[in-house]
Amino acid sequence: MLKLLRLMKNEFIKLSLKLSTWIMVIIILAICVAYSVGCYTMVKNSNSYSSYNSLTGYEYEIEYLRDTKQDGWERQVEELQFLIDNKVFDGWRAMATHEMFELKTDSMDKATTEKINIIKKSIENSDWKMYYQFKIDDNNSIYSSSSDREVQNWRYKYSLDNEIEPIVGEWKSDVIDELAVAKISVQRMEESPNTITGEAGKQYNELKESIKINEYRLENDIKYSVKDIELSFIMGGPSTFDVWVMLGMGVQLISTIGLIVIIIAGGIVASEFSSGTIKFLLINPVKRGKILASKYAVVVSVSFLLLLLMYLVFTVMGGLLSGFENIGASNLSVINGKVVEIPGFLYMAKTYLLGSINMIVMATLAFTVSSLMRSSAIAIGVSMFAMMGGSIIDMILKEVLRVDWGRYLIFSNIDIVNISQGNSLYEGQTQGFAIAVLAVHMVIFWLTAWDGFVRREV
Amino acid sequence: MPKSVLKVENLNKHFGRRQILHDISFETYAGEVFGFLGPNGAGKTTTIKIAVGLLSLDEGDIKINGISIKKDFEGAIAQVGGIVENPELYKYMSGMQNLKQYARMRTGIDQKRIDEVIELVGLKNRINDRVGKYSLGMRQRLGVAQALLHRPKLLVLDEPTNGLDPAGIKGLRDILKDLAHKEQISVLVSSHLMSEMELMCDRVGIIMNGKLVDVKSVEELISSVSGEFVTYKLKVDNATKAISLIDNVNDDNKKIIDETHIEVLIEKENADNVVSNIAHKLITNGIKLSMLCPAENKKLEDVFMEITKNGGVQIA
Ligand SMILES: Nc1ncnc2c1ncn2[C@@H]1O[C@H](COP(=O)(O)OP(=O)(O)OP(=O)(O)O)[C@@H](O)[C@H]1O
Ligand SMILES: [Mg+2]
Repeated sequence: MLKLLRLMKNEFIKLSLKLSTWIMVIIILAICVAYSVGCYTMVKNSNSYSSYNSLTGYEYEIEYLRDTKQDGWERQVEELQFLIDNKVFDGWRAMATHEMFELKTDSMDKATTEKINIIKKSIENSDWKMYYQFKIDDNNSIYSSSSDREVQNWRYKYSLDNEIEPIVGEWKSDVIDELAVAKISVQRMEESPNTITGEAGKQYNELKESIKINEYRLENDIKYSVKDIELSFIMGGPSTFDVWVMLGMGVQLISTIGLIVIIIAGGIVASEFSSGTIKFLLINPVKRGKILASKYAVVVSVSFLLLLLMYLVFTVMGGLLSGFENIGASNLSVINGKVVEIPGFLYMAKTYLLGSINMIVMATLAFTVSSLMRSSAIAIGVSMFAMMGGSIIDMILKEVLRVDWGRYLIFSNIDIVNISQGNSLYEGQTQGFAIAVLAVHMVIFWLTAWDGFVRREV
Repeated sequence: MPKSVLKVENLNKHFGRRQILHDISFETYAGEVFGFLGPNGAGKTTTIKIAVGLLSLDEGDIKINGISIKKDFEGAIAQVGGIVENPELYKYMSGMQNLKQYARMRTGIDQKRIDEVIELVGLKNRINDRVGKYSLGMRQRLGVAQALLHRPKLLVLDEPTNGLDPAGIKGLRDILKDLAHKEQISVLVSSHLMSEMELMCDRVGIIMNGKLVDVKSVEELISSVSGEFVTYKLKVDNATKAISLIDNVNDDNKKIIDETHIEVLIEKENADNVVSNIAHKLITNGIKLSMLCPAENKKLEDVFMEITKNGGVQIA
């Protein structure tokens, strides 16, 4: 064991004395910093488009309606003018305004006129309690079953009971909105005659989980929760930027470290052969297996050191760009039906480790080819091809040749992060399945590398 | 009885279907420098690589200090230091950093020992330079330092004088002799410089086409080849006339080198008589004899050429 550590020290010294290693580290740092700034700018910009409900927006729309004179344009102009007069741009008053103008017809009965008056008054006085109370009364008259009433009224009752004023951007009121929508959807799914399976089942479970988590947040007064950023959502963009969003978006960049780790893994054995130093390495009283093991251990350690470096850079950059106030936040997950709080940095570390599996598998492939072929160029080439071209091969097998055994290939299991988010190419290809397939590949790689290196004549 | 350090037993080695080593067996002892001679491609490097653990062996065994390389690789190799072929060390490191690398892979080496070996091979002033800037000879010296680091019982050097200047060769020769004779290390050296081997080695093994032809001490080897005749050189004023006057030697055994030089092969047994007769005859016949002396003894180089020219036939 001590010998292995000394061998690893040797390998670390070799790497650290090579200029190329440091150039690669600096490139990683530069890419991470640039990526952070890029993410920050992207999130900020995407937010500035979203508030289209503005005074100029309303006026522009009025002008447009006056020019085109479509059916019922007068009513729409009236509604817009009302919004302008009462300075309504978002939130419950916007919804209420819309509701009010929906009710307005040329032949209204007395009850409807009364409703409109209440809504109008509550908007003009900004009296949300009045509006919410009206909604409760109104729902009670619309829905007959008590379960419908309960679900439809939950938002209004909860807000009134807890005196939580609905304001857009206030976390509690946002959470209440989200909960209300989820509760209604769940009830609809449960009451529909169709059985809930497949895609709908997945959605149903996600809704149930989000309800549990949001209820937990309201109960325990948890303003912020750390989340992963779904890969598919990156372009749609998270609405705010902070340390955790930065880290979540940073998962995308792990493959950059992967490239560098492949270069190191591909050279660590082959370079000894190409420089002739292998003879002086193997002339020592150390079994070849140990030398190979120490080199592999160094490849893995360097991978994790680079990953840690990246994690730190994103944390610091996220903090510098948007402040550190959420740094102590936790992630909320439902585990066995219970909501569990996991410290944010631990949760993100888990995500990063999951993301690094790809890189470790590719580095192992490069390492194996390197010790078999004694050529770093071949090793790096093969692994890079597997990393970049793998998904294409995967696609061809699945979509063009339509074979099912593609699921057992390394390519279709390598993107663990995507698979863990449920975006796998094959039906039933779970995270556990993918990890098992990768583990089998890793064992084959190790054995091949070991056999090749130990038996090779020098 | 000297202590056997390296024991090669019936070593066989194939590369693919070609057999490179045929049943090689020999021993080297503590306190001697053993020379390994053979023409290019004879199998010297292959044998040495097997002895230091770089190549596997097909049949037979190698024991170092009694430890079988097959049964306890680490134990056996811990007793060996060596250089194989070229001294290719890490170019991007300094000499010192290189030595520290090797020190970490072996046991019981402290900084003092490292400094000691550096001093021994004469690299003290350049040890902190990058090896990439070293000359071939300096790298060879660093290679020797590396091999000596862990005080091996057996030192194996494949063509160690390669690239060394005359002073370097003499230095290495002295180091190796000292290590063998004073510290009782067993040294195995292969080289193409036969004159070097003669000055350096106590015993020599000759290998040809993968077969060990002979193992003898240097003196035994030389005297076994020089045989019954001794060559005498003569300097005279008229070679043609002089050679006709020499009548007590076979025509085959005398020849004119140039106008003033003659070479004569004389039987060892009766040499004194024959030589004085020749001298008397020439002088009485008016030839000016200015030199009459035995040519130098045959050197290992000639011996070696003779053996290998004959395609490995046993020496008489
Ligand atoms: N890796 C190998 N694969 C196949 N044949 C080899 C290999 N290494 C050496 N040989 C063959 O083995 C024979 C012995 O080679 P070796 O290097 O031992 O000779 P040598 O005595 O060291 O020669 P030299 O004086 O030129 O260094 C040669 O015929 C060579 O072609
Ligand atoms: Mg050789």
